Amino acid sequence: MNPDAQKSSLNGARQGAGAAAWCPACGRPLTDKQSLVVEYWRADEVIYDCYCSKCEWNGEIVVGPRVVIAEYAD
Amino acid sequence: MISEEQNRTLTQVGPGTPMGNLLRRYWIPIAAEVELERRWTKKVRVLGEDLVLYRDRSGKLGLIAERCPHRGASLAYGIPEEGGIRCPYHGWCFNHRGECTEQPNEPADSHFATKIHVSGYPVQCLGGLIFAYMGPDPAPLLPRLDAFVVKDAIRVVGQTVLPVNFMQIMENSLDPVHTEWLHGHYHEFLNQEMGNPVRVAFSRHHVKTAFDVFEYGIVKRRLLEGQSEDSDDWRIGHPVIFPFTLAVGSGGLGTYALQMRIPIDDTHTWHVWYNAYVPGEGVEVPPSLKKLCLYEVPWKDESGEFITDYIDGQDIMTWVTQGSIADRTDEHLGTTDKGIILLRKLFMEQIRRVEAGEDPLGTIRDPSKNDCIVLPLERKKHHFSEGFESVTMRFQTRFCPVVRDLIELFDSVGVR
Repeated sequence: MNPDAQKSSLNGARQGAGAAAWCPACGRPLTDKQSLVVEYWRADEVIYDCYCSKCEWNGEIVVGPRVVIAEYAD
Repeated sequence: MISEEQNRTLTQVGPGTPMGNLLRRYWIPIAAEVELERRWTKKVRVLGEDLVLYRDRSGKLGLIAERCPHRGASLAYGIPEEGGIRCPYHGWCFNHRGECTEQPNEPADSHFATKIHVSGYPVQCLGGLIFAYMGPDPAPLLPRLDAFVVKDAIRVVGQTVLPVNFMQIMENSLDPVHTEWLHGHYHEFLNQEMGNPVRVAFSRHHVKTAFDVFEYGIVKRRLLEGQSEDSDDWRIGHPVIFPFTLAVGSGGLGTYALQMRIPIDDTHTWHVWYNAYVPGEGVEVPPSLKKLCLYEVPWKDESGEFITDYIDGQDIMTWVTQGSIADRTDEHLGTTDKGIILLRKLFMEQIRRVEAGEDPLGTIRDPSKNDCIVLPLERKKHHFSEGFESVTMRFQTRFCPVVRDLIELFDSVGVR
């Protein structure tokens, strides 16, 4: 993939930042200036490492290309 | 990547900003004691405030706003008095709390002076440095880190001013993998270019890294290829002392190395390398090493290019080329940046603690905990396995005017 295409692909994935707009614990915005949402990549997954300044929830929101689940045996 | 607003929270250090309020809860180095041996004042800019550090006639140190509130002249050119400093312009005098105590040409019955005051901050000396506390009362204790209080140590202190925000320098300290490339492969590349294809210990591959918050900051650990999990690098590691100090160690029981990154303002940082070496009992220390040696660390050559053939110069090149304030809205972090993310979150958490009226991480108020703070520090550090002279000459200590005496001494007595 050429660098420009790569960059536009990254920017496309970044639109998933909306996934981390709200705190999953208290529901308040994570976009305030004293909360923190740091985007990083793990292989194809885009991860938002979050800190909520209101309720102090600390955790990750993962935007993955696929979901893998275990299938229980009968 | 973070938002522009959150980047501002992390990088703005002036009065009234969330980060500025947090940093003011810590004792901050502002000078070396030797700087005021032959002069009375030193201009100091710290956390966006212009101040003057001075020694009065009684020998006491003071730190107050630099500009006289009368007509704005600099008190850095002031006249020392018994209990303060006098403005050279019209003789107004100020004490250590910044209170105006005299206005010699105003009427004798005037109370005008009682209405005039400037910022004044307490200062304390430790380990040859002068520290200031710029936060609300009561001030916490000045942390007595092992490097500052260890007895009979040879102390050398390098310094420079860097045109960058302190946060990108601190982030570098939570990024262990950069050492493999910047101080390893890049250094080898430079060696090769100079016709000296020598490999360096730093280039060994990182298998994994770990970061643990502890009572004074974050301990970072690394496991390098070929090491066992019993190695000091993985078992012990070394700490970032919150909020602006890295304790990098220097490869022996009797050696200490701190890197302090003091925010001058949003776009400048005073970088201080504080090294202490203990030669051991009964060792005759040459006169040149008996007094703290303060020296400048150069990082650009005559043609304006970065000097990258030493370890700290390599770091400085990356910090400065990131821009005066790193644009974190346009970065692409990966899994090896988890330490950086942890540091950013820790700063945000501590900002919240301060706003909630609590003491931030690392605050010490119990004197019994402050006799000597022994930091967790690996002693058999792989990166320093090439020996005292090699390491000392590849770090900024190469610019220390007494470095040859230091190496000669430790060649003879060995590093404990």
